[in-house]
Amino acid sequence: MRKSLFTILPVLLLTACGREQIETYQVPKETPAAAPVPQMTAPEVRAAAPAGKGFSADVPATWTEKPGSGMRLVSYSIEGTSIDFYLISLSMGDVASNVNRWRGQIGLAPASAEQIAADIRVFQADGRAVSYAELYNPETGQGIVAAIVDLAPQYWYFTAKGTADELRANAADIRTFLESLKIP
Amino acid sequence: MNKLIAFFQSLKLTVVLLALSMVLVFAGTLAQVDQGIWTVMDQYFRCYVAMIDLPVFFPRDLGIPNSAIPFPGGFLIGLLLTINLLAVHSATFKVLATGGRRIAGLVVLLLGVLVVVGVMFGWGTASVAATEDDAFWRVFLRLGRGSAAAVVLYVACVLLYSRRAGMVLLHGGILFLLIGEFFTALFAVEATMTIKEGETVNYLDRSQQMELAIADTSNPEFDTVTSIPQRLLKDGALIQAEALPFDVKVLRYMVNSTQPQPLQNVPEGIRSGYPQYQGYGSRLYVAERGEASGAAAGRNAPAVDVELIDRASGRSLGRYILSLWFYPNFVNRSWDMPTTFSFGGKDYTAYFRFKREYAKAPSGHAYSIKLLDFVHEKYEGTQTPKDFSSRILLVNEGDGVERELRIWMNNPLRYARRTFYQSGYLPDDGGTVLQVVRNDTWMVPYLACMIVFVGMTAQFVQSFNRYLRRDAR
Repeated sequence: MRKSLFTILPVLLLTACGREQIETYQVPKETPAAAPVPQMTAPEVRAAAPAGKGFSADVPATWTEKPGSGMRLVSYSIEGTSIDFYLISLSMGDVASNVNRWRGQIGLAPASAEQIAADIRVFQADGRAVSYAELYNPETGQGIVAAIVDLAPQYWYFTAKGTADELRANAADIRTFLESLKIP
Repeated sequence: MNKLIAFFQSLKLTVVLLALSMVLVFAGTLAQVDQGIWTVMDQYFRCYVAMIDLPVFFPRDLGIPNSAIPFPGGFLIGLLLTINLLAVHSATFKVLATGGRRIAGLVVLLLGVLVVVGVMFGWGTASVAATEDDAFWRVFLRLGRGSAAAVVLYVACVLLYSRRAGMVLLHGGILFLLIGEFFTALFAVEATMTIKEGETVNYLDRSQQMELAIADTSNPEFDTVTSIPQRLLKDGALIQAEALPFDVKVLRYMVNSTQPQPLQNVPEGIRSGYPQYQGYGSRLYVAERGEASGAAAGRNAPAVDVELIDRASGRSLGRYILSLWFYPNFVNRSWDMPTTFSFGGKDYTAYFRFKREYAKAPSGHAYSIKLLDFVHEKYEGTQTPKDFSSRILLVNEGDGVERELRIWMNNPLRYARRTFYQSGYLPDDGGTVLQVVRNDTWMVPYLACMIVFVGMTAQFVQSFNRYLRRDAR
C-alpha cells in the first residue's frame, strides 16, 4: 500500500498535453463580422460648424460632439474609448501653474520650471499661440492631454482625460484637431 | 526506501512545503506588477520548476539586473503535499476491519466513488441546463448532491476505519480538492462567443491561445483555412505549411501591440523607421508595447510581423503586420480588418486571432447558437446596468436539440460540458458576448467541501458523545 503511493508520482509527472500542430480544414464562407472599413483608417474629417461655441475645426470622424454643460462650452466623446475631451474658458492662463495642476490630477508630483518648459510644445493655430502638453503617469496608467489657447483676456482650455493608453493612441488626432482650430 | 518513506511522512516536510508555497504566492503576486496574470500563472504556479525573477522583490527603479532563480513551482509543491498527505495518512490510519466487514467497506467505498464521479459529470441531469430560478437553490442542490456522495463515503469509512472514519474522510476531502485543482489547471479552457443579434455562431474564441489563420478564399463554396498555432510563431521561425504555396517567416512576435492609428498622424521621426508593410500596415501604425500587467487588468493585443516567401523561388511576397486589433471579436465587432492578398491565382485572407474552436457536443455533432434577442436594462435615468440577458436558440441537428433558452447574469447555460455565462455586450446593445468555460472538475469544490463538512461533523459528534458519556459516568 505504502509503496504503491510512489507510483503516483511518475503517473502525474507524465501527464502531458498534446502539442498543437498546423491544421488545415474547410469551412463554409463567412459573412463579414463587422463593417469592413474600420473607422480608424478613415482620414476623413468633417468640419464642424461654428455653432455658437466660437470656433470651427476639423473633427475626426470617430468623435461625437456633445453640447456643453456647466462650464463646458463643448465636449467630445471618442469612439471606442472612455476619453473625456472638453473645452472650458477661463480668464487666467498661467501655463506653469496649470501644468502642475494637471500633474496633480493624475497623481504626479509638481515639476520644476525647466521640466515644464520641456513638456510644453507651443504651436500656432489660426494665429493664436497654443501651449500643448501630454502628461502620463505610468504608475496609475492615467493621463491628460491638454492645451491652452491664448485668446487674452480669455484663455481656452482643451482637456482630454483618460487612460494613458487611450490618450496615446488618440493624441495625434487631438493635436491635429487643435492645429486646425479656426477662431473667428 | 524506508528513509524516503520517512521523509515523505514527516511533518517538517509539510511545514517546509507550506512555507515555500507562501514565498511562491508572494513572488507571483509581485510579478503581476509587470506581467499579465496568465504569464504569471504559467511561470510560477502551473509548472514544476518556477523561475522567479529577482527584480520582482525590489522597487523597479533600483534597476536590479534581471536574473531568474529556480524555485519549486506550484505543481511540484502541490504534488509533494499530496504525497506527504497520502504518506502520513497511510501510516496513521490503518484499515481495522477484517473479513466480511472489510469487503462490505470496500464495496461501499466503490459505490461512493461511483456517486462522486456521477455527481462530477452530472449523470442523470439534463444535458441542456439553463435556469430561470434563483441561483441560491441551484447552489443548495449542488451541495445536496455533494452531501449524498459524502455520506456514502462516510459509511464506507465507518466500515473500514471505525472510530477514525471522520478524520479519514476529512483528509480525503482535502486531498480531493488538491487533485481537483491540478486537473483544473491542466484541462480547464476559457473561451468567448461573440454573437450579433440575429447571427448564428458555431465557434468559440479560446481566450488564452492565438493562431495565425490563413484562408484560401478562391473556392466559391468554401474556404480552406490553415491554422498556425501560437507556439510555432517564434521570432525568426520559418513556417512551412503543406496547404500553402508560400512560407511564413516570423520576423517578430509581439506579446502586446498598440491600437492601430493612421500612419500620417505619427511623428515623422517614428514614421521613417517604420517597416514598409503591405496591407493595413502600409497606412496604419502598429507598434510593439510591454505586456499589460496583471495588476492593471489590461488586455494584451498580441501581433505578428511576418514576411511571406514564395516557396519555389524564394522571392519575398511582402511584409505584413497582423495584430489582434484587426480581429473583429477582439474589438467587440467595431471593425473587421482581414489582411488580404493574392498569390498563384488564389485569394487569401489572414487574421491573427484567438484560436478558433468549432463547437462540438461530446457526441461529436456540431452545434450552433443564434442570438434571438439581447436585453440590456439600465436603472432609470442612469447608465448603470441592471440586467443583461441573451435569448438564444441552441441547435444541434445531429443530437436533435433545438431549444430556445435564456442566459443572464448568474444564470449560465450548461451544455456540451461547457458553461456559457453572460459576460458582455456589443456597442449599442447590438449583440452579446458569452464567456464559455470548460472545466470538467467544476463540481470538485462543492464535493470536497461537503466531504470535509461531513467528516468534520462526524468527528465532532463523536468527540462530543465521548465527552457526554464521560460526564455521565
